Order: sequence, then C-alpha cells, then structure tokens
Amino acid sequence: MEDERLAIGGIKLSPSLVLFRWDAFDPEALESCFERLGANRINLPVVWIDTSANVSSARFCIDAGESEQALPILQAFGDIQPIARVVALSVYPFGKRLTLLGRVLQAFAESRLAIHAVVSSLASIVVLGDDTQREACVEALLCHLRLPENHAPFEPEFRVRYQERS
Amino acid sequence: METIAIYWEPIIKTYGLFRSRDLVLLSKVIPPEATADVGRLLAKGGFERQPEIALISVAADSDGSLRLSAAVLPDATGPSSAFHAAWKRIPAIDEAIRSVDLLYFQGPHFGDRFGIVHAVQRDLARAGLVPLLLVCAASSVYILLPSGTADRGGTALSCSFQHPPDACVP
Repeated sequence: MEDERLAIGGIKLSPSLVLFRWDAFDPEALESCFERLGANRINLPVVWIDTSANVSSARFCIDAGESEQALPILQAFGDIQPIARVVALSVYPFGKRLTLLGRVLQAFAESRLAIHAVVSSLASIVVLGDDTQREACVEALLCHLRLPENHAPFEPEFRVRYQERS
Repeated sequence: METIAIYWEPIIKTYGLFRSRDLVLLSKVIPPEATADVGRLLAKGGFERQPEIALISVAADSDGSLRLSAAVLPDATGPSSAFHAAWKRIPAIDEAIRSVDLLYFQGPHFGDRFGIVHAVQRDLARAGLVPLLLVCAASSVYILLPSGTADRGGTALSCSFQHPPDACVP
C-alpha cells in the first residue's frame, strides 16, 4: 500500500518552554521588556509579534528553566500572560511547502491537540504544541509526515549557551 | 551537556540581509472548528514548493481561533494562481490584505542567543519603524515592514548587525 505521508528530513524537539502572550501592547513597552530580558541574558527562542491587525499581539517563548528569573521582569509590564508550557517542534525542510503547513494543521486538529503557533523559518516550520502532550504531538505528525529510514524525532543532547566576553 | 559559545563581536554578524519588496501580506482569522478542514485543503492542494511564499505564520487566540498570515509575491494573488484559489476557500471570521516589504536574515546560534530581537526592535524604532509582523524562530529573523520602507529598515539594522556585503540583496 502506498505511503501517502509527506516526506520530510527530520523533526527536532526543543526543551520545555513557557509561552507568553501580550495583547494590545505599546511597542515601546515591548521593546523595554525585551531589553530587560536581554540584559538578564534571557533568550527568546521563538517570537511572533503582529501589529498589522486592529489589536497588536505578541507571543514569545522562554526556556522553562529561565522562566522564574523572567517572571519579575514580565510582571512589571502588567498585561503579559503565561499561556502554557510548550514544546517547539521544528519540522524540516520547510521548502516553502504550503502542503507541509496543511499536514501540520491537519495532524494537530484531527488529534485534538492545541496549536499555539506555527511559524516558518528559512529551513523549517516550527510548531508550538503543549509540552505535556509532546509524545502525542510527535505521533500525530508522524501519521502525516514520513521521516527518512532510520531517522527518529530527536532532542539535541547539548545546549549552546551564549556569553559575551567580559 | 552544555556548550558555552562566547561572542565578542561589537556588531552582531549575520549570514546576509535579504530584502523582498512589494509583497502582499494576507491574513485570515480561522474559526477553531475549521482548522482540520483548512489543513486538509492545504495538504491536498499540491503545494509542494511555492517560491512565491516568503513567510507563513499561525497564532492561536484565546478562543481557539487561528490567525493565519502569509507574505507572498504579488503573482500569488492573481486569479490564475493555485494559491489564490486555495486561499479564497479558507473560511474566515475576519481577513485583511496589505502591501509590505520583507527583510530577513539569519546568524550563528541566533536561536540560542539573547538580545537578538531587542537589537532588531531598537534599530527599527530609532528609524521610526514598527514591524507589521516580526517572526524569530530557529536562527531566522523575518521582518515585515510597510511597503516602501525596506531600504530604511535595512539601513537601520546596520547599527547592530553586520552583513557580508556580497550577501545583501539590494
């Protein structure tokens, strides 16, 4: 029987992240918030900021291990809401394939899994799913996407931490 | 295991700044119950590779609706375009269309480095620019600006970012 799944090169899973949302933000306040996060060496692995609609809206992720450090900074801005612990699943290559976006939406919706966000990058499509459902997210994707032989979804075994030279 | 990467560049290095002018930003707010159908529509549409697509994003709202945005070349919005035909069939609570310019770049370990998105915001704010859509994922930064402002944005970004001269698309 023919395998109708879409061929991909791989799926990479992030560590646990915390997704935050800030609606109707003031752009200067958002910049100030991100400045303070950066000054505290807190990375934002996924960011989505939309001011094109009537109400501006931002989503951003912080590594769960750094979220406690970030909370006092975020709370100073009042309207920033933690949404969920999420996992970022990077599906590659994107290859400007709208079909791939369709399969991702279909996979999550048919399995009744939350889709917090999907964004394209140069190489991949990154999907934010519930971290508590990370195995189910992978299973759902693999119902629609086909990895190369002897490949499996993976989590990097090392992390890169950025420091500035003092 | 943790690897420490130490950067001492006074200006953040990138692999090149790329610009696309006069794109079209299409947005639709999809009702939650339509997500699977939209997925099937796009999955079965034969959209294997579409160079006219520059950026795609989806973000969920608190009511479960999805805001789907696509920055595309103008050709993709023409009546003979397969993309246009599929886009028209996507059910929407709300939709919008506008002209935009795109700047995008990537750099070493951008996904792991703090301060990248703030540097983008700061540079653009100094030039009086607010991105219509800013997406950072993996090592990529995508910035949609109002049409006609790509050059101003590119110049502004040179305050914090250094691009190899042969990798800058004019």
